[in-house]
Amino acid sequence: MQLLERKIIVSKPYRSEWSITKGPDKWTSQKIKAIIETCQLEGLYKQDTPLREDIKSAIESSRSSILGLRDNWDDEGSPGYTKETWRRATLFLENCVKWLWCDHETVLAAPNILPGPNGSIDLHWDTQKYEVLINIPADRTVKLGFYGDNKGDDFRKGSLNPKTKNEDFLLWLKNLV
Amino acid sequence: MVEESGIAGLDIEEIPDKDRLFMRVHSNNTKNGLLIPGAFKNHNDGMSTDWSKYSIPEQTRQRAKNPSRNGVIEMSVKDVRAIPGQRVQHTPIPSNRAHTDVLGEKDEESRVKFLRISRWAIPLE
Repeated sequence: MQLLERKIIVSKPYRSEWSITKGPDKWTSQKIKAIIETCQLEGLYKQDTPLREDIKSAIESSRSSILGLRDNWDDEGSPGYTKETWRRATLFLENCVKWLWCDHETVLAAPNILPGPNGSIDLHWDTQKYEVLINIPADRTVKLGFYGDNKGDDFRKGSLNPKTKNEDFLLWLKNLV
Repeated sequence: MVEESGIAGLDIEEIPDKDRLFMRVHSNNTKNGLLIPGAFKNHNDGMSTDWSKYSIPEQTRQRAKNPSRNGVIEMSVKDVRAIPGQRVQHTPIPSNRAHTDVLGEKDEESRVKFLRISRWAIPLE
């Protein structure tokens, strides 16, 4: 089997750079793909396709606007936001953007990254063609909830597992955008 | 129509579809002057609003801990009831006869739909 050379950048705590030119027979392309996907899910792998500027900008501006909200930020006792929840939300967004681009050559617009209820974070797209809301709970053991529609009859709602690719959801999103 | 007596003997009334509900919105629940979905959430059992029969938007705003940092939105009762899973329940309290809870889970679908039916009655300063 001929494997193409590909540089993989792995971030802390596995920081190193390595490449595969010839793998042993047991390293099938499916296995390598699975390893890369696992690294993506854990935030360890950065694909060589960089994030677009609008996505990076949305993530960066949300860092201060959300993490700056302390307990009782609404004068009604709402809890503040943890960096861990914010990182899960932005990592999920990064993965959606990259998967849609790499697998489907679809450009996902930058969402609003917003404070949600009870320490959760919302990703909100509201365009002329569609509206989608994804909620990343503060409790990492709880699945992500989502609702979206094309501002007409085509809608989807349910939950998403941040540890998988959510292919059905991405395909539906691809058709919306 | 009066259904029963609530807290402190205040009558609990049936709220007609044609009426409106007012709700305070803190400035941190907006972005660039626009409402965000996170503004719609339950406190304990429901989302607190005021019934237009017994309140005007400014009274709703003045009930905030810091009125200057709050605007007020309005929603039609009929539109609220059209959102799946939502019920409108008059829940008067001694300090506020207009108090009304919107009961039901505030999931992603309902929050998107609350956004769509809301209008500013008093925009943020």
